[in-house]
Amino acid sequence: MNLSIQNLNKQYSNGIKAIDNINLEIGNGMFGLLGPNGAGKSSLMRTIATLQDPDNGSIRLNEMDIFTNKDELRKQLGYLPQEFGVYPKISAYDMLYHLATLKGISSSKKDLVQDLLQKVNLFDMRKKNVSDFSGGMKQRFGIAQALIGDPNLLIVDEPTAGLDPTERNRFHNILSEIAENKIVILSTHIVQDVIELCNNMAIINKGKVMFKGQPNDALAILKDKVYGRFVEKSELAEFKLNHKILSEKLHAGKNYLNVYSEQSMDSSFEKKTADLEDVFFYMCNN
Amino acid sequence: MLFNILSFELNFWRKRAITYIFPIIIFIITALLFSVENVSFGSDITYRNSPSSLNTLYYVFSILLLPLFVNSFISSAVTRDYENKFDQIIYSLPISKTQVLIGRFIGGCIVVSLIFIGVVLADLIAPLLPWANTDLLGPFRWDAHIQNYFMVALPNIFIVGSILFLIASWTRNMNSSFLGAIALVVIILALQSLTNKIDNKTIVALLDPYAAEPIRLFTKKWSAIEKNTKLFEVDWRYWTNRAIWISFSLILWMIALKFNKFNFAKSKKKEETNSDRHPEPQTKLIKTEKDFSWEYFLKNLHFQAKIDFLHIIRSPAFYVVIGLICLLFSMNIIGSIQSDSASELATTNNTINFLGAINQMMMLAIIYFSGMLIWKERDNKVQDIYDSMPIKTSAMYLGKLLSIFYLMILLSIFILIIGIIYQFYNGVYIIDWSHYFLQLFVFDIFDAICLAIISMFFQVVINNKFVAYFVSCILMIGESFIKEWIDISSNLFSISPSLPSRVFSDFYGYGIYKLSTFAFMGYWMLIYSLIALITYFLFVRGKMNTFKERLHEAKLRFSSSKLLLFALLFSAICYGGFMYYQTKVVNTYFSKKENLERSAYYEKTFKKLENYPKPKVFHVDYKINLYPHDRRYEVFGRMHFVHTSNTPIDKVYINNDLRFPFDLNIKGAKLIQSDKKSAVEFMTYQLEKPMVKGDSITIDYKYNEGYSGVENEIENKRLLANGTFLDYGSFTPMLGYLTGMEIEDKSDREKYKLPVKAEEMPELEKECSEKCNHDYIGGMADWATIHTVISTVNDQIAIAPGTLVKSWKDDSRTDYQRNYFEYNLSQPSKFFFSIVSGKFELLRDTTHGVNCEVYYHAGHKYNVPEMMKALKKSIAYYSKNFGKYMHTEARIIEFPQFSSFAQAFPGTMPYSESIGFTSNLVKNPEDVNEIFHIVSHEMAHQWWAHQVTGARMQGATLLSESLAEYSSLKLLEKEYGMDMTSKFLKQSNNIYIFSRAQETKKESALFQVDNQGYIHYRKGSLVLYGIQQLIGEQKMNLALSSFIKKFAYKDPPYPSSYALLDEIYALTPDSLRETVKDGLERIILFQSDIKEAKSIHLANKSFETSISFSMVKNTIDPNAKQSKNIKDIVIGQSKESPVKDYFDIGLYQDINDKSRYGKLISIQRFYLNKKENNLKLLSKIKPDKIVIDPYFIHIHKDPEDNIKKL
Repeated sequence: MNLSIQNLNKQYSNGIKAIDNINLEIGNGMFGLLGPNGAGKSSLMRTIATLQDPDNGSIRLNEMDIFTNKDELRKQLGYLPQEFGVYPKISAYDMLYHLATLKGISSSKKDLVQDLLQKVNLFDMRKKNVSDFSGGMKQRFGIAQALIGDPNLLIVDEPTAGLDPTERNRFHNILSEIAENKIVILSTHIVQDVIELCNNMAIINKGKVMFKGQPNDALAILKDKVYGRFVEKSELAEFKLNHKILSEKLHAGKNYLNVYSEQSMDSSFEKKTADLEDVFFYMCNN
Repeated sequence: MLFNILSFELNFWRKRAITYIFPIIIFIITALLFSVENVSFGSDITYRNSPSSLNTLYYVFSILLLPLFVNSFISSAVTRDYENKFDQIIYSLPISKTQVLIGRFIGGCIVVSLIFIGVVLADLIAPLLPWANTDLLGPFRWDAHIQNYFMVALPNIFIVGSILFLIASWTRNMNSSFLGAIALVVIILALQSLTNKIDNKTIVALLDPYAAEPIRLFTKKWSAIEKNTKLFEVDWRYWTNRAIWISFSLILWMIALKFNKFNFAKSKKKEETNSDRHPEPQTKLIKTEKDFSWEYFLKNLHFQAKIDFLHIIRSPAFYVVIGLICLLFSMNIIGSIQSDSASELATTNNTINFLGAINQMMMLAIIYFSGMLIWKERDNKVQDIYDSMPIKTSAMYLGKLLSIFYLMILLSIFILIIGIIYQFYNGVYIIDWSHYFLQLFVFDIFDAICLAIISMFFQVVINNKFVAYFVSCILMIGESFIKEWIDISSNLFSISPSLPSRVFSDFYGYGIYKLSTFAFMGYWMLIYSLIALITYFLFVRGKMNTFKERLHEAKLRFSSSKLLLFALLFSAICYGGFMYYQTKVVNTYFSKKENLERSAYYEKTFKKLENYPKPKVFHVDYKINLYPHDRRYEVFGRMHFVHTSNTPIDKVYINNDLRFPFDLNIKGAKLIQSDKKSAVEFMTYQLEKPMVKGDSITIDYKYNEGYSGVENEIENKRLLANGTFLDYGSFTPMLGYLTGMEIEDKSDREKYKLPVKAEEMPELEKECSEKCNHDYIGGMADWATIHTVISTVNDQIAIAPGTLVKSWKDDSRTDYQRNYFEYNLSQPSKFFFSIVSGKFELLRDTTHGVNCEVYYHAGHKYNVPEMMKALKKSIAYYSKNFGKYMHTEARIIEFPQFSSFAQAFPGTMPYSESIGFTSNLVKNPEDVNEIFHIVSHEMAHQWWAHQVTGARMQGATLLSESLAEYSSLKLLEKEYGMDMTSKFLKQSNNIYIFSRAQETKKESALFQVDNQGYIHYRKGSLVLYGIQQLIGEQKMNLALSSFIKKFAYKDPPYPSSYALLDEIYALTPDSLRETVKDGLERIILFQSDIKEAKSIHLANKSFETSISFSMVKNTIDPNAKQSKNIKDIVIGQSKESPVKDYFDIGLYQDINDKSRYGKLISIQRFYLNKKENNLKLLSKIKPDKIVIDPYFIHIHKDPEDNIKKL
């Protein structure tokens, strides 16, 4: 499987450029799409999911233009949007069954739906209305529907938002299992998710691809260039002026700042091994 | 704080476009109504901006548009937080919820109240518009605007606002507020239908949430001059109504605030994850198979339809619809029980009419559900998941349409069940399944699906739910106006599917209407498939924000279904062309405008010939062959004319039909001119030698009329497979200028520059001149005999005027047997008759040597015995008191309900299916027996019109209609008693009072009646019956029989109303002279006011009842100033005159039945000669009720004023 995105552009009517000349090649396996809020991740995801046309550029799945073959792509697609609602007064089972029909499942839909409900741990709640689900349960329902029919292309937008650690793990297991011979695109702003799951990734910010490649390549960019130290509140403003700040954290009430430096820094700084989070901040703040 | 919220709210709306759109819409609608001549608004004789029209306008906006405004500005103020998921934030702020609600509510109310300024502005600007016709407009009335603004608009904004706002706050859902709005409109419609049926106006006045009824109570009796000048009046009922509804709103507010139902965060407990987790399942997904074949498409279609259908029937709206269907149905039942006139039997046809009101509401529901379905995915935020599924967009769209179809099937079955239960409950076990099927499952579903397609089209194209709702509703209401405005009569051009109008009848089902209706349905299916295809092209899928994106997508969808589009387009054009050919070439019609132009031309060109003498018919021979199944018939006629005027003539003018011309052959005359520019071909024949009095001439003609193919509107509704009923005028050439062709409508006459037609008939003359040589019926003949041979198909009876001489079957063709009948009318009669053919049952009887016959449709036997009874009683009473009945038979013939009337022809009375054959006499025997009344009225015409005919001048109908009403009323009294008579007279009194207010020309006194129904029927029955009460039955009938003796079957001059007056006055004692004269020659209205009435028990076991009341006698001067301005009112001015009249006063005992007054204890006649009166009456029994003038010797402004409970 191969998804090829070329020269993709999209500008909204309010002037915001959501997708700014994006080029990406995505092959089998998990692909992480990392970026801060409002970076254009969801726009890109929706575009791949054929919910939105770009101004120009193309997306091809195995050489097939998806914009002229929307139905073909949809047949192979599983999509979990970042935000979604449900119909009132329809049970989880009925809704999944209905969606399975829409996805063209011709084998036993009953087995499939039961299996999926078990996978996301909603089997006991299958007769309850989805509209009465809590946030986490609704999210799991969303995951289940995206998995219907073993899609070749699975797009999950912020899938673990609102999940507790156990459920998150459970989902990650499923994802890594199915990613073997198909494309899974995972959009997130949580660096940890990408580290755990993805062998390929891209960082995007303000509609542009800042980085693409393997997580290790990303780390290599910042090798030996990250330093950190505690900074007093009174010095904070001046410190920020003089250094390239990667991130700012609180450690027991004190400000700890990571800075980027080409040269080695004095001893008040400790030298740090770059992690993906630093790369993320580096990409997004420059 | 409150102020802050309020100003925030106002600021919020200040920036919205919608705040400005609505006032502009109101402004445009009003300005158009006020300035465009072709739009009709109000009555012809009131100014478009008269105070009463303004009142109507404010109400129309309050009822139809206010709910929409309220939803946009008031209800949305409370739901927008929920919809934008901002509720948890806003309501966690430290502000009082009460203040938020009140602040937003007031803000919304202010915005809505400003919208109504649009009306004021339009009124100011309308006269300045370039196309404005200032004749339509009166002076600008600040006071009327202020009155309507503060007494109509503002209270309603508050009440409707409160109700819908609180519904929205409770449910936190805009949709429920919309449903509330629809429910309000339906309640108003239902109330209005109830008002027409319920006698207790006060209850309805108090119930009306908009308080339109309490105002209408006054204005409906107003004359035009009052409507143009007076501000509306209100009494306690208005204030009580407002108090009730405002307190109702306040109570709603109090309950709402007190119980704090607005705990704003969603209160429903969310399901929580179960704690005991299952062991980790297999992470591997199970293997599935997919299938995207054609079958998949159908499956998806089915699933989409199913899920959408379930969505509809699980929505609260569905329950509201079901509830409203039941409500409307029960309101109808209550209405018909409450009404004074007989209810209808629950035949299938009546039941379907009964259920008809539901239709309008269902259409509103279809618009609502269409919008709901189009927005279903987006409103529930599932569109991201849904739209990324491989389901075809076409399946999505068609599934939604299909679900509306399922819904309609469900509702139709529901209504069918209600209908059948209703029929069974009322003891009617004959169910006409095909009628139910066609109405509920063909016509209704066709309408609903087309409406769904067009509303979805608007939803998709406009892509804004509420604007699209608005547009759909406007289309539903406004389209017919627009079509009329631009003069489109063709059913091929419109937006909502336009079909030929159709009339069902038990005689033939939908018979002749089927072909054209189905042909047009086919046409509209093609057109609507195209609309559906375009909707599919533009159907929003995914996130399409700009129109450019949607167009791009549309192009893709277009390119994949090009073939279908062109195929549809091609067939629509071909089919449309075929339909055009059928309706305009094979069959023809004139548009409304063409018809008016042709009528105007006729009047302008030929009016000068109006008084040119024409020879009169004295004998006709007809040979008529009817082919009812082929929709054609042929006539061979030989008409014998004689010249009766002293003026010699050298020309004969004949009106020939344009489409089916008479083939005329006149010996001794030749055609010298023919003019086809009017509605007829006007032919001028030159006589070889001039005719002088006594000369005769014969006209032979052949006539063929027949229809085939598709018609735009069924032209001849009387030529039917069963129940053909043709007037002589449609197959007999008419001579001379016909006044009946003239345009009646005032503004149309003005438009075509025709002189104002102040009067319909020539002025009444005391000394008869040439005018008295023509009667008012047809003028074709004085007295004529007719001989007819008529044939029809094998299984039908054909009836022509006169006695059946013989009948035979034509066996010459074995495959096609025909029935022949020969009739002879040997008693010279008015030349005024009809022919009938159908499958009839016959009830026959004889009385006084007359054959009485009722011909009726097989299923309609219910009231036939009553008709026969009325026939026999009529013949008995009338021949005894007025004079001999001159025909050997008296026939009632039922005809299909394409028209609702009964009419008297010599010896024959056609009687429409819809006005009695299926009414329920048994249910309320106390109600006015309409059947008995109508039959005896028509029967009385055999004397009054067919023996004595009035000359063609004002007052003529006093001699026919009023006398027939009197005769029939006398018979009703003899047969059913005084109480039923009093009910009849009360109806007459009220209808007269109501109708005189609608008079557009001039209210004449009875003896000068200018063919005005409310005068010759309503006032006529009151006055003549009143005179009879004063001078006595015997003297009255003596006067009438003497009148008959002088004029029955006499050659001209015909009598004028003076001749009758002379007979009556001759037998009236001097003491009553003035009162009798009041009735016949003046316009008098009495108004009484009972100040006090009480009854005391006297020692000697009797009761003394005293009453004090005032009696005002108003005389109306009919000759009030007349002006050239069309808008100036010609209704007379009223002035008070001294009372010098006799009045009956009756005492009644209450009994538990439906009688008007109860049981009569005693009645006493008093002579009153002053305004204030105190009277005492003695009785043996304790009276419960005292009534002044219980049997209507006089006419009263409001008869209810005359009754007082003791």
